[in-house]
Amino acid sequence: MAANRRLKGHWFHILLSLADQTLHGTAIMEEVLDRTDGGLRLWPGKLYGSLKDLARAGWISEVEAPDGAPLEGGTRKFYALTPEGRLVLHEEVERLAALVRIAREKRVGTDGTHA
Amino acid sequence: MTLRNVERRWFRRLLRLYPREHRERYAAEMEESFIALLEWDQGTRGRLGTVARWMGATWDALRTGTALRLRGAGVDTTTMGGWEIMGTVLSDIRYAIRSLLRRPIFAITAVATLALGIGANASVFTVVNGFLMRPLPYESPEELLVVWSENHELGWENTDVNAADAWDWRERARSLDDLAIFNEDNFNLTGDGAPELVTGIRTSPNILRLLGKAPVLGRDFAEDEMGEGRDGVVILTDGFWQRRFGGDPEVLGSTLVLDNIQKTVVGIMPPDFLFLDEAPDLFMPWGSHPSTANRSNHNTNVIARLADGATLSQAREELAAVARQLAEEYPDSNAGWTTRVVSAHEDFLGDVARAASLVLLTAVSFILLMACVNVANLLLARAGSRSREFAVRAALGAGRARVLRQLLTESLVLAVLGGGLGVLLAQWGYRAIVAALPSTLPPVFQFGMDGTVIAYSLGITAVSAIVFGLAPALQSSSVPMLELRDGGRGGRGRRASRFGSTLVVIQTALAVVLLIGGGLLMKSMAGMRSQDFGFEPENVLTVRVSPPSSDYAAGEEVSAFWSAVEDRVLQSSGVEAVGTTQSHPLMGSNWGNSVRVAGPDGQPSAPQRVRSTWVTPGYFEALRTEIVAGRALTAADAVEGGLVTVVNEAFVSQYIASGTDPLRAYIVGEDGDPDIAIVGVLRNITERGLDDAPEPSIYGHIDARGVRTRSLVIRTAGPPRDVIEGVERAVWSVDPKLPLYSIETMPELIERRVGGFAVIGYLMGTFALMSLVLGAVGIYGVTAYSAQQRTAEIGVRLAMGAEGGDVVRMVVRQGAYRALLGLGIGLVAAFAMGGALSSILVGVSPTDPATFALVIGALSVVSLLGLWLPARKASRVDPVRALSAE
Repeated sequence: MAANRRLKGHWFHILLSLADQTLHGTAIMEEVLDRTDGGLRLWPGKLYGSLKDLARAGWISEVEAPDGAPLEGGTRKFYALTPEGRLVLHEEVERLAALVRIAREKRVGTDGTHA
Repeated sequence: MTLRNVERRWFRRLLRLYPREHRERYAAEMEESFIALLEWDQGTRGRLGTVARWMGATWDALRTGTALRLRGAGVDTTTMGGWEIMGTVLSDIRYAIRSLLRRPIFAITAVATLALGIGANASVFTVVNGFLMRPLPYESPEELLVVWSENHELGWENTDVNAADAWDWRERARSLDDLAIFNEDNFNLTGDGAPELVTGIRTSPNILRLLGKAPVLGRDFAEDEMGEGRDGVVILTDGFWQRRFGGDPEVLGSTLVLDNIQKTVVGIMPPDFLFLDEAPDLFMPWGSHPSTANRSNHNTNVIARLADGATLSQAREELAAVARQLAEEYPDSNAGWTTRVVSAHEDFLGDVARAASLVLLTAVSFILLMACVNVANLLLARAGSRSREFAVRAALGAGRARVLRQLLTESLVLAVLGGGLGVLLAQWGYRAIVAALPSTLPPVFQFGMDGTVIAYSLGITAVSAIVFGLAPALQSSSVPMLELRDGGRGGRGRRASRFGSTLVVIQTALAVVLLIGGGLLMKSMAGMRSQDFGFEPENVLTVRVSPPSSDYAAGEEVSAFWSAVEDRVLQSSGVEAVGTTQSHPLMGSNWGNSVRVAGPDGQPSAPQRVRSTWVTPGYFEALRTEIVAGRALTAADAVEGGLVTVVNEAFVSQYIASGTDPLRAYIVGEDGDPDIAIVGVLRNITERGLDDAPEPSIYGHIDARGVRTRSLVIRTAGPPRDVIEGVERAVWSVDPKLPLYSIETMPELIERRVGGFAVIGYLMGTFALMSLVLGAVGIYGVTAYSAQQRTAEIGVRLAMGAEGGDVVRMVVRQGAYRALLGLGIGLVAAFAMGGALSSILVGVSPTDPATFALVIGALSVVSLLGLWLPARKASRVDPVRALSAE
């Protein structure tokens, strides 16, 4: 699984939403919806399929619920990034940053002149 | 929230697409996150969003579910791209289209049959969707309630509400967020332009806010704009604003003269605003404070909104409790009065539209089922001639699954073509149905092909493909190797014809049910038109005129005005008789009160409910009613208080003890008023609806009541509409400012009342006819196919000396047995389903023997024809050729 050199778009967003907090599946979906202003909708099948794959790849892991979080009768599972996941995310961000840098040098983007 | 529960249920169904292990681990969370997604979407998308969401969720479940299942079976989904699967699907589709094009007649027949079935379904569903599923066009429409008054002791049901009571409910009931009272009221609009009668809604000032609506120009009524001197403002509807003022914004702030009183226009409603079950021109605040109303008057409509978190049953219980409190506080007026609370949607819909929707939807799905059965039959016959093709494919290494998939793809292509064509047909079909719906329908029901209809059409198309495609495909793909070995004869023909016979049984049964349903409804409709109305409806014209109280204040002025009008109308040419009344037959009014009746022994009965109609003597003459005992009213009966009355036969049979002379009974005067003598008995007149039983009624002289707004009921010598101009001149010679309105002939009124039932009747009649054709074609097809399969056997029989007639008898006998079985099953089903029809049948029993007999006869003839024609053809086969073909 880790052989995937480039991270799938929705995987990236799931990892990103876990970068600074521990969340359960629905909260991840809502975080991504809010962050992308509805641009990326993680349908239930895709979301939980991905969580399963990411956990199997060892990039995220199931953790204890944070103190005071509602558990919805114990069905909710909470996830956090593993060190390996954090590394993958870091690499991806670096790769994207490099791309943006190149684009900017070619004067493409928000502060460039090409509208 | 019931809607969410429905969505949860459907989502759980989708979850079955995932492997069990995945489901057990994640199902609850997936459901939670789907609901969260719906909630997030709620604000951002409309109805189409609903369809998009479900399509998205279905696609998501199909894709992820399949991927997970494949992975579970050891298939590496990362290397097997979606394109590979797409590739085989596309090639299947191409192959299917090619093979359909090779047999164009077959393809066209199948597609046309399906298009008819799916088109009829989509048309009816579009209408049913408008009635049952589309929410009312208001904010949170599921919270809206309608409240009626009832008094079971006095026999009042679904009665208008008292305004003071309603205002107390509003104050005291905590399960209600708000409550508004309103009433229809007509006003004579004078000033610039021709005088016109406008329809207004008198209402408490909160009604628009309660509905979640506001004027697009100007403002809403203020909370305190109600009651004497504070009701000088009006809000116009867009329709009236456009019609009368051409949409001129200057109208805002100007004054209108309504019944000679100036009112300021403060607001204009948006074009898409629809008001409940009426189509008014303007809104005007209630003219007095509701709490000042006399609690004996029940003349108000009520709409209310549930408080957050409150339920319908809580509101029911609470309002009933408040009504009990009021009965204790005001025993004279409120004893026995209680409330009936229904959801607004249900109230506007009514029982007939709901029952009719379900009956029609069932009927039309039967049609689709019959269409599918016919197509299945076609496929089966065609599969016979393609058996070699399958055998060759199997020999070349195609597995059974592969052949099955190919056949199902062909079915799907047929279904999609039929479905597409059907939806196009439905565009026209539903408009035709909507155009035929009666104009009395509440305008809040809007019809159109929305996402729900498209989703439904897609759904029935897919289901049809499986229904008509699967069984023949399973048959055809089951024994391919056999075909090559023995040259295409053998076991399969037998099995296919047994399968075909099952289809005949199903089809005959469905046709019986549809024919009986259609027959009963047509009979009911015909009965409504030709029923005994208690008067002669031909050549009767009705016109309403409303002299305003500002010009005609006293009772004598009103009487003088109307007596002058009656005289002049009688003098105009073509008029044979004329009378006036506060409400003419079939107008839909519901005046009534409670009376106590006493016989010659002077013992008064308990209060009984009667319908009261106030008339001038000419009314009986104009309608040509029949007096069965005593006399009609005369001019001399116009005494103050009305001391004599004429009652109808229903009154006599229900309220006067049998054996008592009705003319010696009387109505007891209340509160010191004198008793009212019964001077005549009238044959029952159909007053309210064509489907209502005659109500006990009393007819009194109208001048004893000083009713201002009246109907002129005019008996004409020739076509009623010819006299309209003369009647206008006659009325205007008395008062040139008065508009004439609701000009209708009695046959038009009857037709309008039949309206809704006519739509149901014609639709069911059409479906019945379709079922007859589909059934005949089906029986013919199956018999022809099985006879063809047996050509060799028949050849042998003929060679052995059997006569042609023997062969015909043999084929017909075997088919007839199945048709009889279908007939029997259909009769039992029709009998069992009769109850569903009873609420939309008028004057016809759901088990009407004549209809049943007619259907049995018609279907027997058609079935025999469908059997005999192919049998005769089979008997003419040349034995030599038949045998050499083997």
